Amino acid sequence: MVDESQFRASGASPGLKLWHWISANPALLPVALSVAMAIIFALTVPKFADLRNIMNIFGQLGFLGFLCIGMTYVMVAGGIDLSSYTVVSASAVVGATAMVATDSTLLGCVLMLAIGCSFGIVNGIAVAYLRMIPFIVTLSTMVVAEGFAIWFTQAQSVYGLPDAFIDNFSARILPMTLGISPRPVGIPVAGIAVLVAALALGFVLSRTIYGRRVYLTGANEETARISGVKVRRIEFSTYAIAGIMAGITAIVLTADLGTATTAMVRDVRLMDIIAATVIGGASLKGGKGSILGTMFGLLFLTMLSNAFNLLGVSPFIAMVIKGSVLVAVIGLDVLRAK
Amino acid sequence: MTRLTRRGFMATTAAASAALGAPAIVHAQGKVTVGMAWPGMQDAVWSTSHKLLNEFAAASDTEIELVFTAADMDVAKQASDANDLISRGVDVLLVFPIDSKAISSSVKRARDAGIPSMAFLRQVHADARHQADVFVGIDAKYQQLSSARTVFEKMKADGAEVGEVLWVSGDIRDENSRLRGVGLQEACDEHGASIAQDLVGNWDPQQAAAALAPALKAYPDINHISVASDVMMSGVRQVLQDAGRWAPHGEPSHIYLSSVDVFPIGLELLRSGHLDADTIFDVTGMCREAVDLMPRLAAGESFDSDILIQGPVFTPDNVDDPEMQAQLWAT
Repeated sequence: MVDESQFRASGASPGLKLWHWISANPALLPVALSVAMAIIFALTVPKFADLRNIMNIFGQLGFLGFLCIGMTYVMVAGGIDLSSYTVVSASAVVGATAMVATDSTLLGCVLMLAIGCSFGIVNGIAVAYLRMIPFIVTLSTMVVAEGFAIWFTQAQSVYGLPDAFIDNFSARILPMTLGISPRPVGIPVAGIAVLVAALALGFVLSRTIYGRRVYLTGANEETARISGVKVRRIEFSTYAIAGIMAGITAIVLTADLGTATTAMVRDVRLMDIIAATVIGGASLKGGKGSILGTMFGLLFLTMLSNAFNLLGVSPFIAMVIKGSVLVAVIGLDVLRAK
Repeated sequence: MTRLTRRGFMATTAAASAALGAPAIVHAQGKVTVGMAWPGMQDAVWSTSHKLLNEFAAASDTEIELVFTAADMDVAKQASDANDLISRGVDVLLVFPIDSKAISSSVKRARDAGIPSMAFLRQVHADARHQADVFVGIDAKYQQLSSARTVFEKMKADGAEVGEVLWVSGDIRDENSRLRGVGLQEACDEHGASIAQDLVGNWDPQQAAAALAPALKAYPDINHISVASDVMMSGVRQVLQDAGRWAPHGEPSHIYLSSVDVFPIGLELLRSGHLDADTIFDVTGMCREAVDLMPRLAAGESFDSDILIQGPVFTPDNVDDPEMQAQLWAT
């Protein structure tokens, strides 16, 4: 591996220098991709740059954003969580049922967080302390959570939620036109919430000792252990965080949809979550990634789907492109590692 | 044929529209853009309805552009798709709800943006906070009613005794299954018959067979079995074969069979004379009706009742008529 200062001093070609710079700053790729795509779409896709659509995209980030944040923590620590999307449904149906029965928004939200966290704790114990393979553990939890949600609801949607819950958590605040929208458009609370969570958890991951330990654990577990990092505790905590993120997603989605169902988020979205995280610079081998990169990775995918819907392009072409981008980014990750 | 395939009762329109004549309003306007928030394309009903809607839209007097989105059975994705279509500024939002309650939020957002919405095949739940402006679907009750009624009439014409019926239902939690049960009960009431036993088949041939086998022993003289869907017919056939009661119409051991949907197995059994009546799941009629309504909805017309399509009854006598064949979509 060439040291960066040596590399700069060497007479490497500009292309190689650029490649090295990108390799050293993986979050730049999704930022650059998103900005480029936003400019292209704004110029070529009708209504893409409308205020309503911008807020629409911002609100959609709230649907998967929390799950992507949780996935980033898990992947940076060297794991993977396949269960998050079914944990959302399991958390949502329990919390919503309590809400309907008691008319208590607080109880419902607490239960959603608790159920999400519980699944995260189970994943964390299995992976960190029982040394089970993350892929198998979370695949099993995925099935358990899905089965639980179906059993709990008998596959029926839970509805009749308190108006206050729906109105507050799915609200659009500060309606505005900015002189470019014919009707006032509000800022989605879900988008604001995911932005706040991304800033806070991004800070924790990138600027705290805990965050550094997460990176070290994912990069080289043995080195981390020798350095005094309580590796198991770190791994456990990332799964717990992912579980809490699933619980928050349950709150946001249940409010937005006005109901809780067993099919709120399906397996196809798991690919979006992993893709956003990997495009954002996370490595499937651990030790890399950032919340900033992940959020821009998610923004990239969300804008892609949105633009295709606005253009009336087949959604299946969007799937092909998303899959291809994911393969390309994973390939890039392999190249970066060499 | 029109009477057979489109016997659905049209909605009563708003007084002003009715007085002026809705079609005149329709043709006066320009292109209508309709956003389709579909569950996916993997299911035959989803893909067929997508194809037929495009065909009817292309043939429409009004220029209709259909903008298609597919949610892969993901409720949250369907909400996002609907939001995208609303952002696009479509004239009508056409939703095939994955979840009859969750879709209500998309209907509300469309309404807030001044866009009328149409629910297709699955109605927005009655208890949901916001209802679509119009619903186009299948009259599930009529399906079973017409199929069973045809068989009762045939039995009477044959001089067979009309008494008890074994009912092989679908999923007890499914609204279509429940409505089909109501339809059978109405047909029984009309003809002085009764339902001997409700056998839950859960839309699964094995479960239907498991439920029917003991019931057939409990009611050895039964001469009519009504089935909630052709999807369970292979199980029914297996049980009747095992019991030595699998015989075409005209043979002494024949049991009269009424069913619904007209899937390939239904067609096969109609032709062989084992199945006596089968009412189609009329996707074609539903798509035709939906396309007819799109320009009217975009023009601001309002509808105060659902559009429920009543498809024709297939029998061994008409199954190969060209007009009936033209209604088939699942073969």
